Amino acid sequence: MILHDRTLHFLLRAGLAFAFLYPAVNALFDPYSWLGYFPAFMHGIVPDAVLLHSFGAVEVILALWIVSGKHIFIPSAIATLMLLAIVLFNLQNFQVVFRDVSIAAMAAALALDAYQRREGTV
Amino acid sequence: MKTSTVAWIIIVLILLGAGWYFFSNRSTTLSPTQNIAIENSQNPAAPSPETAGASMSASVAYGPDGFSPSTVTVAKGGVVTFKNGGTGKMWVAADMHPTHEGYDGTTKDQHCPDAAGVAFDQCSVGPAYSFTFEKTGEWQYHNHVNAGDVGTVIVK
Repeated sequence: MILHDRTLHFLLRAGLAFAFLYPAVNALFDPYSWLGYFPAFMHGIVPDAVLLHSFGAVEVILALWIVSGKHIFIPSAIATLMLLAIVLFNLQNFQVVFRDVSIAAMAAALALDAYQRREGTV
Repeated sequence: MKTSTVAWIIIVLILLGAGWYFFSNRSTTLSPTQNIAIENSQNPAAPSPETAGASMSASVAYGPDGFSPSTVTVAKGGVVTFKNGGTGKMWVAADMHPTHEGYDGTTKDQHCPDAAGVAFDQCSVGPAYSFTFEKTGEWQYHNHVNAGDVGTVIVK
């Protein structure tokens, strides 16, 4: 892969990773804003703080994995599914979460690209 | 099946699902800054018989099934009291989540705490909240802690 392609690929991965890093960090300062996006059936199983920050930890891990570029198909596919689920569970707030559709498309593009290349690293 | 074909199928399904949702559920809403009263007949979620008509007060209960009744009607200057009867947290606020600018045009960060009582935002979790509606119109609200729970206050 020439340098130009690697830069483009990193840019795509970094953009996707940011979409997962920002909520995880901001939830530390404004937890209720992010807690509101969880569907009703997820509330009450564990304390809200555990739910929120555990999900945040998953987001951070996913973001770092995506940035690393290693075995990129797996985290990209997971990211696609997570983003689509966030949209589906928050259709009443589609004016807010509509951008997640675009980000999910980015994640799906990364996953499909990796699937076609069948490479572990980029 | 080719990867591109799979991708196109997924895209078409998403678009069909979005189209079904929006055309079957959505009603036209005006910009909150227009502050225009909306007739009950234009509201697809008609108020229940118990809350039909414009009184000066109304009560809404919050529980595992959300806000009940989901739509109340009060006269301008009327008070709506929200009470949490469930185990979950309640933070009543005007749409949209999470910025809450739908009632007075200011965001949560700008108007909280709402000491003047003008923003229709509870500004914190609590067991009860009362708000006096001085503006006519149809005001959607939600539980900030569980944004899927929504309701409407119609002010005549």
